[in-house]
Amino acid sequence: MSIERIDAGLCTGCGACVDSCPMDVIRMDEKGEKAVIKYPEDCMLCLYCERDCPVDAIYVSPEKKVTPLLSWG
Amino acid sequence: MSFSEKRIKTDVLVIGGGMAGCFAAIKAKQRGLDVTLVDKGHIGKTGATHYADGNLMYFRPERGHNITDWLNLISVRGEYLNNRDWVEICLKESRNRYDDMVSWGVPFYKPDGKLFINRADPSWTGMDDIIGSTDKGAVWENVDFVSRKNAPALRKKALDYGVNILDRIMTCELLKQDGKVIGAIGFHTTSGDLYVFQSKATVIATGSGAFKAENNLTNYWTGDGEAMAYRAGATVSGQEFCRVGTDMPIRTAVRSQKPADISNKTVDTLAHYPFITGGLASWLRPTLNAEGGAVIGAAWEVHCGRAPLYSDLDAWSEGQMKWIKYYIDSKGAEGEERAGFDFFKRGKVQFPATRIWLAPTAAGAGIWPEDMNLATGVPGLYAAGDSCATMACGASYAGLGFGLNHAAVTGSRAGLGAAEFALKLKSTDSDGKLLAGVKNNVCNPLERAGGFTAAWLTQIVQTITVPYYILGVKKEDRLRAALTLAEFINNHLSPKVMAKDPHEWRMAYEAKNMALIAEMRLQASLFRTESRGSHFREDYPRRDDPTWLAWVKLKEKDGKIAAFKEPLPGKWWPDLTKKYEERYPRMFPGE
Repeated sequence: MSIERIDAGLCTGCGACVDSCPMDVIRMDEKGEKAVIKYPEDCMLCLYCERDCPVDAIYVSPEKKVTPLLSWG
Repeated sequence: MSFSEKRIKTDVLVIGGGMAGCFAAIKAKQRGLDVTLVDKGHIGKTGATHYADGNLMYFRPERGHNITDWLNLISVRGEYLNNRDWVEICLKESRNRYDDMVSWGVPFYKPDGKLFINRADPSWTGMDDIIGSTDKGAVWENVDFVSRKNAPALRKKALDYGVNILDRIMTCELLKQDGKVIGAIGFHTTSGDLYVFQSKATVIATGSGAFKAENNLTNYWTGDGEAMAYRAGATVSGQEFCRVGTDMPIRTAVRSQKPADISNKTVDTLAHYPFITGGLASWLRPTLNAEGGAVIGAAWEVHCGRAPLYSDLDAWSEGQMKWIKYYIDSKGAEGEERAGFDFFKRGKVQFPATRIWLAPTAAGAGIWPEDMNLATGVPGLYAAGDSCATMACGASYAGLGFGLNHAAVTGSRAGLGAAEFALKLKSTDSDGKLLAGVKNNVCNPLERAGGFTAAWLTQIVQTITVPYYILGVKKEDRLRAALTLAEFINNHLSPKVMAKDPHEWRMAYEAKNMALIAEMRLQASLFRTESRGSHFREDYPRRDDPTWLAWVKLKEKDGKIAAFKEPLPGKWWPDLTKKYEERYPRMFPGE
């Protein structure tokens, strides 16, 4: 599942995880108040976001879903 | 879709914000120029520098280090394809770059307030059999960075010096006019704003390319710099030396806070195929120094139907066990966690040979420099770090902290070289028509209403690069088949990739770049009809010194990738009167 959740109740909106993500997976929500998982398919499981979160609001699962290969897509 | 366009005029543009890029930017800034540093991630928190929280080579003659010993050690590891001029520069300037970092506030590992220096004696690493005959007692030393603290410190210092830092800029194409590079075009991956840079000199420091093969935390390494430089007419080299490794289980272990039961350290204990030198270095830094030779050997074993595979710790020498004890004792809990299991119990350890990733080319492979200031063949364009082909590592990654040292040394030189070039120039305004054409290219994925997704194109490229039997265990028929597909992908699929937002726009460009470097690596792998270092040809399992003491250079010719040889200067050849087995104590399968 790669990055699984950012707990909105805990998230302070500091944006540390947004900067931490080398793959641009996490963004701030439209109001700029909370971090949200925007592109989970590009998560490379580096765990930087989880380690950098000051309030431990992020969970990254070690498993990653593999997308089936299509004829074209 | 339309986003706003920003125009930025600068003296020196540095693309890529890791160790090499930060050094280039700071050194150019110190010459009093206007410097802009861009990266597709957030500088200080992205790139291999941040990920490779490893060590830095520490060459100090006053500690008894002999330059010839160190040169020979690296040459043996690189199987003689090292550019020894560059190795020597990396050794001699190691002190200066370390001093720079200390003065910039980059922290190093200092238990009890004292700098911790790792020692490596060849007799511990099992390398005395190759080094011993000529350089008995050669000692290698390096120092450790503090985990994930080096890149943020470099960012801070660049800002302090007044470098203009722009994060989340995906640079797509270089602007070339009248035969020289006069800037670049990219976009902001959040806002989608187009960025047109007009620069007197440009430094590429974007690292290497690893095909997002999962498992190695370098998914941002998509060959962007090599690809854009190639498209601008630069020469690329070292592409056949693709490392492979395995480390997915390590991340699982980090996740569960439990030691890894299996890791590439285990893999490297496969005494059966230590045919790429430096097995124990890999053990020390599992996520960094995976030269991967043993992994290719493991792939070969599975290929031959001999799975499951075991590492035989009983086969380890006393010297090797001494090394492990030294490492675990000196690193305490961290050492034990990285070891993953009790080495001292010995016995056999199984490892999953299916978990293999294709890693980038070795440090010092990429854009070919024409001089010792890292000027490429295209005026105004410089390259540094893992993007430049100094060929300092030769045919196999040296490990032992050489990579980050190489990044600092080449970054510094490229920054100064670019600054000297910029100081002599007036800024060139880009021709409107030319600019419009490049912009059109860059924006194409975003403006395309239908086509292929970046995710799908990425998967397609992975099918011709990631499996072990293509760029790991290589053979002419398979390389030709993959190359045919790579050419098809580049001609027919890449031009039709689309993006629905700026994030996908980045992914689309990355996929295009990966497709191009896939073709380069296949072309170079096919061209080199021998085995050497991290290049293993099942159909040519031996080194062929008379024919292949040469580098493979790639350059665009009539719309295709043309490969040609650059002979290694005779003064760096091994002694050919020595028996083959003495020159190359490590055997490839099939030899």
